[in-house]
Amino acid sequence: MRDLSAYSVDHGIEIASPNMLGASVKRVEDPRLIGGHGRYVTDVERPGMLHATFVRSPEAHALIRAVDTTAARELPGVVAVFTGEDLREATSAIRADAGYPTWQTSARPILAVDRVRFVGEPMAMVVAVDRYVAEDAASLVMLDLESLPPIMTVDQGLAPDVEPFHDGWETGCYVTRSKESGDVDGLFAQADHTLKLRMTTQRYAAVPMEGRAVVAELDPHDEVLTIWDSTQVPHLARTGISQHLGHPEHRVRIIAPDVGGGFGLKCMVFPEEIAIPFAARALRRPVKWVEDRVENLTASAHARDARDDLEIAFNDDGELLALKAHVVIDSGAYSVWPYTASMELGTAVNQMPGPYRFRAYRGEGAAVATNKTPHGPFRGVSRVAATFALERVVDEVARFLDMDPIELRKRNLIRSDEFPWESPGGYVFDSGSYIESLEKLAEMSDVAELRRRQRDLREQGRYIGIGVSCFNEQTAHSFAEYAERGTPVVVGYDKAHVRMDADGKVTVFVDTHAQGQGHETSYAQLVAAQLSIPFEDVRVSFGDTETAPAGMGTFASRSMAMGGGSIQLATRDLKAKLVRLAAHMLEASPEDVELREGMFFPAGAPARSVSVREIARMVHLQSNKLPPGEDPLLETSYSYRGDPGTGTFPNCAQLVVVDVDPDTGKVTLLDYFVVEDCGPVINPMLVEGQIHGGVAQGIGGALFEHSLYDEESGQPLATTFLDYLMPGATDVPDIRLEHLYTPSPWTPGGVKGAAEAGTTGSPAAIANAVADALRGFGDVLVDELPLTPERVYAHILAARAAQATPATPDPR
Amino acid sequence: MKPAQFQLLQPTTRAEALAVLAEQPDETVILAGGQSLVPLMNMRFVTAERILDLNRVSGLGGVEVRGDRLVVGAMTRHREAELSPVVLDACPLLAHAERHVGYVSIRNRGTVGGTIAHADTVAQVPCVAVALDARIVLESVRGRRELAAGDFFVGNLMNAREPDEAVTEVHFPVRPVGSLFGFAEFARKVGDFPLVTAAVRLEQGAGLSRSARIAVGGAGPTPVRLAECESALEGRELTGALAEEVGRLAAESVSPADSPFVSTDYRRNLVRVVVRRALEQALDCGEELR
Amino acid sequence: MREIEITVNGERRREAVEDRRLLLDFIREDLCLTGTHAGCEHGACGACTVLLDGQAVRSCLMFAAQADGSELTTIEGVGSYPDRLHPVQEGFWEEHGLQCGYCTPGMIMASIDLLAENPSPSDEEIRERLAGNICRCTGYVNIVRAVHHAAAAGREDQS
Ligand SMILES: Cc1cc2nc3c(=O)[nH]c(=O)nc-3n(C[C@H](O)[C@H](O)[C@H](O)COP(=O)(O)OP(=O)(O)OC[C@H]3O[C@@H](n4cnc5c(N)ncnc54)[C@H](O)[C@@H]3O)c2cc1C
Ligand code: FES
Ligand code: FES
Repeated sequence: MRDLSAYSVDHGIEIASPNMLGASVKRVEDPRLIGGHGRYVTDVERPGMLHATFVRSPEAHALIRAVDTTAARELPGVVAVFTGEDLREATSAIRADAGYPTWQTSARPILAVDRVRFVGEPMAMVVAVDRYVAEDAASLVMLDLESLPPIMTVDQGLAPDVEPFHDGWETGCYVTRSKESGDVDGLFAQADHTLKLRMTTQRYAAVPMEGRAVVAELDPHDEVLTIWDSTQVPHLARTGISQHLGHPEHRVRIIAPDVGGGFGLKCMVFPEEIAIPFAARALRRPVKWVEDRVENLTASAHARDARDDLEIAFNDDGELLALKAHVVIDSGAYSVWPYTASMELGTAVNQMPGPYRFRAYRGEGAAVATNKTPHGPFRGVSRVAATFALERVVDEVARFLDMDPIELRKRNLIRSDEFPWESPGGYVFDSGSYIESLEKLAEMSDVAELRRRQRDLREQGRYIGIGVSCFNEQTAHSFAEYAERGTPVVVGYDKAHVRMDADGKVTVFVDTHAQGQGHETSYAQLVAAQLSIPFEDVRVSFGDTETAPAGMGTFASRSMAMGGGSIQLATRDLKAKLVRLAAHMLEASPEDVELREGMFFPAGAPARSVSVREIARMVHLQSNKLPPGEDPLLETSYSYRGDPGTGTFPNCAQLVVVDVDPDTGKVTLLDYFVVEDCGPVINPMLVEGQIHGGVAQGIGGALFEHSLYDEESGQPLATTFLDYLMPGATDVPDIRLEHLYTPSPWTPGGVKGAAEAGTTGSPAAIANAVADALRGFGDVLVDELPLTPERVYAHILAARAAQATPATPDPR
Repeated sequence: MKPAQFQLLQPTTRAEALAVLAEQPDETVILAGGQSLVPLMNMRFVTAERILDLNRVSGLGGVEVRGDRLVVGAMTRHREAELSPVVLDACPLLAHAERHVGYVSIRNRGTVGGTIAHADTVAQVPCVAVALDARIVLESVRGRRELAAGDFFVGNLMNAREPDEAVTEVHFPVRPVGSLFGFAEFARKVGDFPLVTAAVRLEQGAGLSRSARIAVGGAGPTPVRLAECESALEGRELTGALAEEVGRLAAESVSPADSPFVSTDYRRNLVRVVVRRALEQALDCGEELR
Repeated sequence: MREIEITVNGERRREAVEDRRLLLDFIREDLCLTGTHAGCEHGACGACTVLLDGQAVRSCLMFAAQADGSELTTIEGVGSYPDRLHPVQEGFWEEHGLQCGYCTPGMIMASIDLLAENPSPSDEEIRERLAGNICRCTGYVNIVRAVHHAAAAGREDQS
């Protein structure tokens, strides 16, 4: 066990207005958004702006013989057509390498050169006076391709005789991983039972309602490239674009205005984000590109796509002893920058033992290259599939032992007094309420009553199922985690700059972004709470690298702990100065100065007071009055590294009630209950919104969404919203939610990440509920997502025919 | 995702419209509600030199009863067909089916003539048209003709229209007094295109069914009448058990094609279910009548 | 190119458009009313919903030329902060019915269309009516509450 006690520090944050925290303050971002006055990249207009579109590969795998742009160039209104050859010199191919010994590198040219590796890969870029003309010209670009057989399944990619499509590869995998702790073989040998199951999570995608979008413009005055980018990570985008474009970072400015959803998709840097600034620089005119929905569904990034073979050892009394996991990820055609193609696999291998007290664990697996869209982060990276796999297996154990699934879980969950807990997957869990969450869930949902209802309805020919999932997850992880992965960027800190102006009002500049999370509101609450000033007196600014301090941006549920952490610490330092100055003005000693409702006063003598505003006025406008040694500055910065850098672990439990139509296999969600514990909550309304939306995305993954390919031709089949089914208002039930508030010992204010829990647990809970409903038909194993009506109906038929392979543990 | 160049032609009378169409029939695509056509144009699956917009042509919309026919003008919006008391009274099966077509904002624009001409095998209105043996009125500068729905639909997204013809009306038979009807579909999501549809109408005498009409859509390239199922109902009392039996028969009598997201067997099962459900609805409306 | 005349949020506009110009692009780029959003451009997401002659339609499935002579209401014409918010806008704000805000204008237009027809909708009616408007952020729970909120405000106004 590592000694982590040093990190449980008191950050010295004193809350002067406690009512500002835990308050559902209405969002300050809403007035503009509900009025249609949001400013998204798609809304940016520049004088003389041109519009770009991409010619994309129609084939999954082919050699490029020629790209003929003659006809396209001749079309009136076309300003330029660029091919891979045109960009080869001026840009560098994207290489995102992880630091593992088994790593094999992939080089992705900004526009394809020599070879295309997935349908949708950009091959040429047309720039014209408007998007209509650009698309006219794109259809005139002639592609001469020599088809090659694509690798469309992980089995093909894993085959010993595979012919890899990246240069110099010896196997078909980007990387393999393995991890072992404890006496796995010993415990498996001594267990009463073992059970081995394969669980498969399909390929699907983040699909924000606003696709990616880029506008770039070169200022001839100082050669600064301004790039309006729909991104979650302005500074990472600046670094990535600068590197691959060979344009110095101090002459690249990223503006990420309102962003219409991200969910992980927009925390990568894509070729288009480099190609568009390239064009703007080459043509010396502003250029705009807006991803359309077909591009978004086929050519940005996909996610999940995990095949998990789990083997679990357990005893008659329900004690879970040890776990083996073999994880195979279909990572697609290229490694994504900066997270690499190791991300889903690596974290899945680490995460698999979940919140349970396994005594031993062996995890291994491979990230396989296929001729599909690259695999990238999406809300709940690896945990969604891993939680589905593990929670299904745990349910099957309960079923085999004829135990109540909640009881079985409670028996094996890490107890609140056992933190910090070093998991066999290598994580250190900081704190949690695993058993308490489950108990609260059972209570709020009244499971006993639900079971009774289930039995009654069964008699009326209805098949109701009740499913539970519980899990913890890594959030706000930083340097320690990413250094281990060896990614091109060690995601390691976030930075805030807090400034108080002469009128006592505050502006917070921070590197993290927001794509709906409401940080303009919740961050302001943090500041108002410490400084005891009105909420309206705090403005939060982010999204422009010219004004925001550099940091990693928003993903992996890190904003409140990391960005919020840096804000809290910078505010603490600003407040310390205010206290010193107040003490000076009040002729008291700083230790004796108290702050309440914006007024400083000597302890016990509230009649003599000085306001925050008066101090601000003095510093800015009457610097002659400053005491010696104090500079006329009310600005502080803090760069928070998130020590110990391994993240903080919120936990959550979900229970869902489903109805399975015995005729069609269609699953309807009847009730949804969530208990989440992300530590102290700054704004409950916002956290609840995150859970609701997260659950809806999990429902999409559990029941609807699938980025399906034709395995022969390599063609994507879900290219529009008619085939890629997004959950709608009739597909998501009302969600009932309760909170627990276990603080992290490490983060400022004890906060943990809140954004992913909804998504992480819902496919697991839904699958368990469907499995529970299907038990009404007979023996059947729910082992693959999505649970489309057709798949569920096949289960019903199989169960009825009693032909399903029951999940029978090895007899001992 | 932007449409290719075209010339938009917006005549205001039927005669003008037909004349415009006759000028260059092969280069002209008719635009009705645009709810199927415009997506295809935006994706450039459909390109055309000339788009003939029917939206300004007078006298192409509206519903009325003429004798034993409910005459629905081609440009009647789905929403009107859904809500019109005339339709509800004369052909409630059509009104019921319309509720399932896409979403309100789609139905506000999409037209009855458009969905008929589009001839999507899973579309609700064509299924009703086949079940009821609706007549499709086609007009061109050469004249006017009527085709039975069963003859009009010749394949998925294919119809028997000549390039210079426009669909101008759709005639549905007025519901015989006391007849029962039902419409059922299976869609993966509310408002999504269904995978299969079933439309049923039958008459009853002395508690026994007669003159049953059953059509299913999505089970083949066009919606089809199921003669065997219809005769299985003849002279029998409609019950839940019979509905199930006829559903099974329906499933056996179709052979849908495999598709990436839906297998043949599953679609066949859905046919069983929707036919049964449509009959159950008919049964319910029988109860209501009593 | 052709000239069209259209009343936008109560204001008469005369503009030249190409025949193929989508109403959506016309609204966003020619009228510079960027509150109407493109989410799919194939009629499946509802982000582009506007009211044309009082009815909710998808502006990605119409050509601007077809709107000649019509009356168009976009989100910008519905109401505005601080003192002219529409009850539906208020509802979305009060109930946290939006996150990224991208689907929101379309959602609000569809909700206004619903309430005009049915001033007291049930949960189910709201969900059915909004089923064609996709939101990736909110899970719809608070959108349903927002519409109820607006409906209640509307009822109060009545009485
Ligand atoms: C998201 C979404 C969901 C939908 N869901 C459904 C659904 O569940 N069920 C369903 O049935 N439909 C659905 N639709 C399609 C919608 O109902 C269309 O309105 C209908 O299919 C076509 O009618 P339209 O008037 O829009 O025709 P258009 O789109 O204008 O035209 C369709 C085709 O018919 C031709 N055409 C149109 N009118 C005539 C005419 N008078 N004479 C000759 N040819 C003509 C056109 O040239 C074109 O080829 C959906 C559409 C969308 C965008
Ligand atoms: S953009 Fe029009 S419906 Fe999606
Ligand atoms: S609020 Fe983001 S899509 Fe609805």
